[in-house]
Amino acid sequence: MAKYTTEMFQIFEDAYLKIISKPTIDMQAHEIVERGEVVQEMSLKMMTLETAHMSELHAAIEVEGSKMEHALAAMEKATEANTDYMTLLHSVDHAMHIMNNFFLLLF
Amino acid sequence: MNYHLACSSAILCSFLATGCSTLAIDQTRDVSKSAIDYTESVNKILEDTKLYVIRMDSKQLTMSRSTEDSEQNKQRLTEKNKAMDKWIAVADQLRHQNILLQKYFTALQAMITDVENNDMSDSLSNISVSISNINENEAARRGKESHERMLRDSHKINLKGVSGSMVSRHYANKIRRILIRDREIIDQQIALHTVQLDLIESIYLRRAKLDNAEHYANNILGAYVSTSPNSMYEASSWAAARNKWFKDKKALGVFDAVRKANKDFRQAWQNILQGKKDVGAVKAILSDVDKFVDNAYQLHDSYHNPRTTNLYVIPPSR
Repeated sequence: MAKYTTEMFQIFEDAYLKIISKPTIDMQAHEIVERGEVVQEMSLKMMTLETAHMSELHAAIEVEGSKMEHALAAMEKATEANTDYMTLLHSVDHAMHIMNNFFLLLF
Repeated sequence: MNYHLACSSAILCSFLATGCSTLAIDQTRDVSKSAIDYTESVNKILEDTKLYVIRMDSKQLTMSRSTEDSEQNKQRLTEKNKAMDKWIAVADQLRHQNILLQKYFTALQAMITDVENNDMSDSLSNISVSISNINENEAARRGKESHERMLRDSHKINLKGVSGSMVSRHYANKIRRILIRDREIIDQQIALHTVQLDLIESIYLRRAKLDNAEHYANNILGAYVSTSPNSMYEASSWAAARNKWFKDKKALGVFDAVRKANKDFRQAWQNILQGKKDVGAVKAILSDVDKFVDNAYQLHDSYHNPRTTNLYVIPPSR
């Protein structure tokens, strides 16, 4: 379980780092808005993971584990891909939508 | 002659016993003092980490605040407040445990100093029962895997296998009874600290890394590279921001000292229980705990001198 959550955090952190590493001054207005939304969702999910009860995590993995793994793989791929900034934001956002049911089980 | 020899031996034995007893009591007093300093410092780090987490969360909320959709803003703020409340509850629980541990050692120290006039048996008993209850709840909260890990960790020092006689006979009977009764509870609490400090460390490091990356992007890279008049580049504040970035990267190692202090403190606790007489070794162990206390103050300073140069761009209309 510890390995699983460590991997999850790592994938989230890598994506967040890439998103946050673009200076705001170089960004278009719509990129700033989109980035704000993605940062909000990512930080909320990371905070939920940090305080999750182990039994909740076990239950969530049992029900939504395969979808979660698929979404994490998509997020990892999006972070590593050399795409433009908006594509990166959309891909990460899409991956997080797939994760929503998993996180609903942790609240 | 035989009579004199017997008398001398008796005096020598009595002298040695008194010397050992004073030694053990002095060491226990040292450990109690370090325990109090240690728990205070862990609480300071916890409090500061809490402030840092809230500050970072507010920063993220500022980044996502819409200038058009107030309902969306309200929803986001509510979600974040709920998650933050849950997080603060976890941090406060650890703080509460620390306060109990601190009270325990304060009472123990008072009793060791003057066992006749400071009988804290009842008070120590109440505290150890509360600590024991917390240990059980926390182990259950962390689930089977962590519970087993914690117990395995605790068993490494094999306190369960140590008979009552291993608790030094130099202590007054009252103190000895307390130490025999509480040794496993306190040891398990220190072992739990290891797991909880790991959690606090990862929470702190994650935010510090992300915060520093954002600081670099906006205040150093963006400000320096951009030739736009909006870059707000100003040489002296830019240089200060860059210094801060380097300094904060280095500060990421602060929890190494916390972990080491936790391990050392536990070792000192075992040594005292077993009445080890190597004062030098115990003192060396405790000096590492003291180093941690200094580091905690340094971290406290860095929290209370936050960056002031972050450039924020309010999200414009869609």
